[in-house]
Amino acid sequence: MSLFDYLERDRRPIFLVLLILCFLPVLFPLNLPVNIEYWTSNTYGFVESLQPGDVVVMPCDIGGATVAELYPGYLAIAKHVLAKDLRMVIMTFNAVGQIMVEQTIIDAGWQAAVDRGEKVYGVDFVALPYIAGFEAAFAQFAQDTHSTVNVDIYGNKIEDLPLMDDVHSFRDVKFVAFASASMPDPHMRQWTPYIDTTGFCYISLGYFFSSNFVFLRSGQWIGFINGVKGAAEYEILAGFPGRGLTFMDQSSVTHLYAIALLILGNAVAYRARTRARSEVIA
Amino acid sequence: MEHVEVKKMDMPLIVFVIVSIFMFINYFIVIPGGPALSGWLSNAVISIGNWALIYGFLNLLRVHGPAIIEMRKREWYHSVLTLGTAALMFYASIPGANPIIYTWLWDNIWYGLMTALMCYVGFFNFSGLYRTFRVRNWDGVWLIVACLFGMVINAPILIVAWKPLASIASWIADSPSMGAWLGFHLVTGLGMYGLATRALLGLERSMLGTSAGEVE
Repeated sequence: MSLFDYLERDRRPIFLVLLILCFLPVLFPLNLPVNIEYWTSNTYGFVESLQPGDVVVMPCDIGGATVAELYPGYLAIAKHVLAKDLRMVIMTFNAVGQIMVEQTIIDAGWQAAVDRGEKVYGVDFVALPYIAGFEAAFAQFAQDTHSTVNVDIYGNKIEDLPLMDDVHSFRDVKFVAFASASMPDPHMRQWTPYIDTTGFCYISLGYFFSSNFVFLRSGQWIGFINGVKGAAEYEILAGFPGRGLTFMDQSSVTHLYAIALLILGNAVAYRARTRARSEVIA
Repeated sequence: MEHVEVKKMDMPLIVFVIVSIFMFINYFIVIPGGPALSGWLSNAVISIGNWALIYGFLNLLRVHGPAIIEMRKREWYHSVLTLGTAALMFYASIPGANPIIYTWLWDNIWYGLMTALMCYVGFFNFSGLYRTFRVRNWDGVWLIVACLFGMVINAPILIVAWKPLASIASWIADSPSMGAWLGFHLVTGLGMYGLATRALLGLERSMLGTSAGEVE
């Protein structure tokens, strides 16, 4: 039995090689150059063009299953928003998202800025809790924020938070960067009426890469962040090297491995088919 | 004049028709008081969704409860599911319940399980690439070519090896693939209009538990 036939029966060697490839770049970094795509640079350019004090809303629908791919890009934008002295409303439409909301406040440096006395919670940023209702919630939050949420994640009343006095709908918001593992259609169905006043950016899984161009080319989005690769691009542009760049080497070798498996599997199947056909003829 | 009898079963349909027409008009035209009413309706939908979750949980108890109480064989995983859900529901919804316990359950058990599940799926995807994604006709060839170029975008190592790959991969995603997606979006949109029209005309009654033309 050849190695290829063995792999047909036992998948463990495939798993083992994948595991090794995930760890290998940590020991031997490749440090490959990352080309910047226009959908990422457009997003960066838009955030750069915002004025200090402008309000940015960042829905964080990131769960444990998608944190590796979505969080680096989301975090890079949250850091950039802080560096640009913008005001941020961070929240989630996903029941699993609140953990990452809290984590972002820490990882992006907002909490440290509060500790240093540079930022004030409630004035410079607000963290809202999970808003249930999916599409109805997207619509209602964009249309009338105050009727959708009553308190923040710490239990403070929305009316008591000065930042929220300036945020009643998406018309008061300059930029929305939303991270979600689901398709962006439901979001954009409800948020499209606000594209005249608000710039949108979708932090997406690589899986949705080609579908993102539908919204980009229609002008509904400023740009999008294409998974970890997009995050690495944004980190280079913003000058915050982080998880995106760290994961780039893993992404390279594992994608190379995926392509090799795909080609090899088909070559082996083709060989088996032609051999079976020639045996039938003989 | 023929007497029109409104049956109890038709009430959800009537509510649907009125609300749909109002929301549709309100989306495109500014009506006095429209935003406030549509806001109230949206919040009602959110509320109904939350009540549906509670109803779902009660249904879970109804289905699995007897099996758990009788300690039937192979019901232990249902017990874990149901009791885990009950614990989360209890700590999340009872006023005054200790949030530390709820947060611990959520962060350390549920969240960890979900993350582990997806990591496991990742390994199977790689196995599937070798074992199941097989080209059997020309459609498959084009699919595999698009798939390979799609992966190239996320792997700088390949772009470094041959720079034009990036432009080719971007073009495939930006033009033919985007066109296909746009087609899907348009068809889905038209389908939704079709479905909504059928529902407005009373032809689509599956949500009422009956089908078109079916007599109660």
